[in-house]
Amino acid sequence: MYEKRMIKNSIKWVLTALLIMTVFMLSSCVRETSEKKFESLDDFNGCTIGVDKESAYIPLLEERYPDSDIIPYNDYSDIIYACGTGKIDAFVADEPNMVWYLEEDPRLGYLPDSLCGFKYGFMFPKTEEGKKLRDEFNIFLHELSESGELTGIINGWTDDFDKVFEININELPDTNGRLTFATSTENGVFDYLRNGEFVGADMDIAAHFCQRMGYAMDVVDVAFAALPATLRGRADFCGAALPITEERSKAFLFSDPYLDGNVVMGALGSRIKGWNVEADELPFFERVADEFQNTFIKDNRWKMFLVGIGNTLLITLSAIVLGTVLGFVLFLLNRKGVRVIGIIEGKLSDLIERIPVVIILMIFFYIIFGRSDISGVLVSTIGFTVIFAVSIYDIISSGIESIDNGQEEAAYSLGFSEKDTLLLILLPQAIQKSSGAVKSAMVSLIQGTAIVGYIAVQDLTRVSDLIRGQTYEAFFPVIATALIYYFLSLFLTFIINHIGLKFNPEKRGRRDILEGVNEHD
Amino acid sequence: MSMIELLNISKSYGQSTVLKDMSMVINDGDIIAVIGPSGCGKSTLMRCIIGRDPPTSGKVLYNGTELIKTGRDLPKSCEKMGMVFQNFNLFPHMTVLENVMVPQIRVLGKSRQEAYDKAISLLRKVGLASRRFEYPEVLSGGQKQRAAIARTLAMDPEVVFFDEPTSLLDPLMTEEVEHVIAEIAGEGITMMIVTHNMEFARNISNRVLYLDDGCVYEDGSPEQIFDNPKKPKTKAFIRKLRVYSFEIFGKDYDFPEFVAGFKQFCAKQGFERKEINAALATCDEIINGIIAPTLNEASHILMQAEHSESTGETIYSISYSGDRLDPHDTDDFLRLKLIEHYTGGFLYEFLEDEEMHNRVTVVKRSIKQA
Ligand SMILES: Nc1ncnc2c1ncn2[C@@H]1O[C@H](COP(=O)(O)OP(=O)(O)OP(=O)(O)O)[C@@H](O)[C@H]1O
Ligand SMILES: [Mg+2]
Repeated sequence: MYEKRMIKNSIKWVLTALLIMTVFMLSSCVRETSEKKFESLDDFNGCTIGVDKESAYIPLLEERYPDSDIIPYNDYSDIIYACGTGKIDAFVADEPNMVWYLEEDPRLGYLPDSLCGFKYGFMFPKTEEGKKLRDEFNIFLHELSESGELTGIINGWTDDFDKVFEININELPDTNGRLTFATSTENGVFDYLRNGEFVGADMDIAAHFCQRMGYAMDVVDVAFAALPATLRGRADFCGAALPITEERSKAFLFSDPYLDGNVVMGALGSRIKGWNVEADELPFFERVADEFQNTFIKDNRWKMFLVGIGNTLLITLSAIVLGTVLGFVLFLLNRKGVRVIGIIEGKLSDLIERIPVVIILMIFFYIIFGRSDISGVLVSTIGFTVIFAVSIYDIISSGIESIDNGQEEAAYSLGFSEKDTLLLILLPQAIQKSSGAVKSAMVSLIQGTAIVGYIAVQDLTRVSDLIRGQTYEAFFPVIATALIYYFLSLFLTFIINHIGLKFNPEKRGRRDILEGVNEHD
Repeated sequence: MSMIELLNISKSYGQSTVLKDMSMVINDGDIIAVIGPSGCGKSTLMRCIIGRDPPTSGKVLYNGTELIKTGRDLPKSCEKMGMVFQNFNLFPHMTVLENVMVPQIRVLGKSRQEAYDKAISLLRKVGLASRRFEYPEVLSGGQKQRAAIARTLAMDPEVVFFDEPTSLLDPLMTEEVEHVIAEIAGEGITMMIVTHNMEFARNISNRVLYLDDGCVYEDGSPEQIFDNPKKPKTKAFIRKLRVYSFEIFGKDYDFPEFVAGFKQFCAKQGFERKEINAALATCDEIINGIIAPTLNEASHILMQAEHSESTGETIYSISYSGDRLDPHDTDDFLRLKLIEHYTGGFLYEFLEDEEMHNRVTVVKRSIKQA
């Protein structure tokens, strides 16, 4: 019996391992494409072209390449990956970033012809204070540029990927107050995370600004798409290799440009005329080892995974514990006759059912608490606590509703008080009936938390995204994340089963039943 | 001595009134059997008395004091009333033993030991001591009901209400449970039992209530109610009468409607086609042939068929207003012969006191279709 199970388990594991290996091999296959070499910018017409979905260059691309499929991606790690595997033929990027992407995936190359120019600027809210700060910043930028420091900073970061960050941003004195700087570490050389620290040219310029002007500095890292929302109350200014565009200028204030350059087209190096493909394909196992090294070991990235797991667990577990308590309390209050609660709960339940949770959290984070200092973790915990409380409430009420009316009638006729009827007769039965529903609510809760990255929380999913963004390799971050989620939810179900067993009345022995009783005669 | 007194109890659910201005007394030591057609409010009456579902108007007095419900919790005196349900309502998440122990501990505040001792002695009495560690779901229906009875008795009730305690049980299990109930009845606990088993009701009770029309329609000793019911609905119920009636007012009437309704009634009872046709032909001859020519605006005719399931007899009768009109005296000799042929002889009465003086009656032992 035992042996049979061992064999069955081993087979399961071997199959899983094989499956993962196959996925890995597939993931690194380069799709064969028609070998048309790119010689000039016009050759890209008709190709599939990847672009960041927030990119300001989409209209330009559409005009220039009317026959092309322009495919928007969430971030550059996806674009690089898609180009590496041949899913797209080419992609567009600012030249300094392009160089950085090539470093990450040596199979890529680019055509140095300029598609258009870009100018980067820092962005400020369109308010009185925003305008004041912007003017201050412009003066600072002017000085920095005059003294030649600006070029030094920028070139330092774009040329030397191991450059040391010199200013300790945590210890800047708050002589003139505190500023919150928003950035997005998703997209390249100007802003990224190294050993859990924010580094890059934008960060460096912002730090110089704060140092020189006497501001203490906080940093928030959000999705690129969330930068505008963050500027509406959560941050004083932002810098994230933001090209100054007419459209953005309508809603926000821009500083003077601090860098201009060219926008260029990238593709597989082998498809660009005259490009020297230097990298040879590594043998399979070395490639695996290399990717593993990049994903987990380099820059202590495993620590980021730990942070992600920690945050995911923190939010999930607090939501489960607090939500259960809250759900119970609300249910009891409603039963006690505070009917308002039932009505509010019904409305909430309806809203949660119909509005994606991520949108609800964004409403909380950016609108309701938009102007306060509350952290994303706290907002997520509150949000998911409410969501879980509503599920618990619904589960208990429907559990109790499903109990035959005769139970209450019998309890009444025996003289049970209302409280005893609920605690001794109805709830134990309701809980027994709904343990399955509770389990699935918990599992969907932990999965549901995967979206908190949208409100600046570094949970497991967000960490996996960030690491993907840094390594430009998808396999290990994604598979590892999948496995971690799997085991976390397995662990949760295990705990809940354990608790369920402990409280299952039918699992009690004679001794528990006869507690305090002498069975004489 | 009266233990429970109902004063002008009424109970409505929305539009429908189930109990109408009902008054009655339950005396100490009464063993009352409650009978009545389905849906007449027997369960409702019990729920009113124990306070689970208080009456819309009227009072329930218990030992002279009124039961007033405070919130959802019941008044202390209700602890002295126990109830046994049709579908047992044991607590499925507790063992048989706990079902009997826990209420004693929580409600009466007994120690676990006291509760255990009492539970064990009661479970012995109902023959379930050996199953005390089992959960209700593994017991047979009869065992469940016995456990439920032990649970109720453990609370030392002064009065126990049984709501159709055996109607979900097969005959053998019914026997077990009725035996237990009869044993308790012998101990002097006041009881009220709703049952459809007339044998049982007669044997156990010292008083029978027939409930109908939202009130205690007839109240008497088992002999009075079962052997000698006074009122028509009680009679009909005891004899398991099935009644069909059709009334005609004035000169014009819809004979086909009567025929259709009558046929449907007979088919329901399973009468033979021959009997149905003979009865219809008789009505046709008497009403259309003999009575119709005398009809005026004030005429009133009532045709009735009463079938007793217990005796298998059917009584057909036609009552009609007007002067004395005996079909035997008709000039139409041929018609009279026909009627006598169909009926095998009929009875004519002239009733001075009734609104309809004339009555023709035919008694048939109905032969049912196989
Ligand atoms: N909670 C309720 N809401 C609405 N109507 C009800 C309710 N309880 C009972 N009734 C109605 O009251 C009438 C009497 O019901 P009750 O259960 O007291 O009859 P009963 O005599 O016990 O019948 P049975 O022999 O079928 O048990 C029925 O017509 C029923 O539909
Ligand atoms: Mg009933």
